[in-house]
Amino acid sequence: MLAPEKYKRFSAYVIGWMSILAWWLATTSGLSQVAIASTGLAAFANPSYTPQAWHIYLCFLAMAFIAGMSTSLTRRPLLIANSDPALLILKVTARHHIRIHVSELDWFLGLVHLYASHETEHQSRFVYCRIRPRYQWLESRNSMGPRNLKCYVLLCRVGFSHTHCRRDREPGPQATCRHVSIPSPRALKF
Amino acid sequence: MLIGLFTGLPIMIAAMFTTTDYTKVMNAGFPAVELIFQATGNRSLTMFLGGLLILVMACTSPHPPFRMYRHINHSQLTSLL
Repeated sequence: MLAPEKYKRFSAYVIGWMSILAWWLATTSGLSQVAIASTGLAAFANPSYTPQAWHIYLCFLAMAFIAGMSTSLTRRPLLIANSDPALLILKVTARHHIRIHVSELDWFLGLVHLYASHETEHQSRFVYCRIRPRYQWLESRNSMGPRNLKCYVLLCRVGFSHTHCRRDREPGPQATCRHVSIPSPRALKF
Repeated sequence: MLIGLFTGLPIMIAAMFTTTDYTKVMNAGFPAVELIFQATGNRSLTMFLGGLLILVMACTSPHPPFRMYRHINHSQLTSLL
């Protein structure tokens, strides 16, 4: 609005993307917080229980599903017939629950891929690692300690951007991971 | 911001007086629940308040304002594009 005429279009593009990314991060972090808090409450109720990464991720998926279903059930059906294709794409992508379901589908496909290739391409211990504190503030269960961060980064990449993690050829448990991005249906969300 | 200040600050000050073991709070799976437990000393009440906290967190999840295209027609779309 305040930008000079020359930069107005570019500024609007950048600000629009910043807004989309901000809402995206805020939505996923909110769901993630609920998932971590739920497993934390379960650990409080039963002290012998230690939450694992996949428990938290399952809760995250359940929360996303509930959020998506709650908005799906309250919406009117989309009229596909006699619609302009461009307008239809815009209307479909503007629906919050469709974006959530696309995200879930993306996550599910990533999870299937992760399980199908865990023996040849990456280590299953990333999925089954225990979320437990090792240091004080930095590594408490709710904060992003290095170990937790590694799990979250891998799972989030698989879930949201469908990034392919392929272990290098040399054998051994400490082999490094190489990441190759693969286009995903995430583009539909925008 | 003012609502956050007037609700969060008293809770924070109260928590400072009632917390007995900071290490436990820091290492807890859900620190807020440990904080409530140290303040109340009642396990059932802590569970209830923890559940309430999760419910509030779930219900206040942000909803992106992307519904602006719902009632748009073709001429408006072409003018936008």
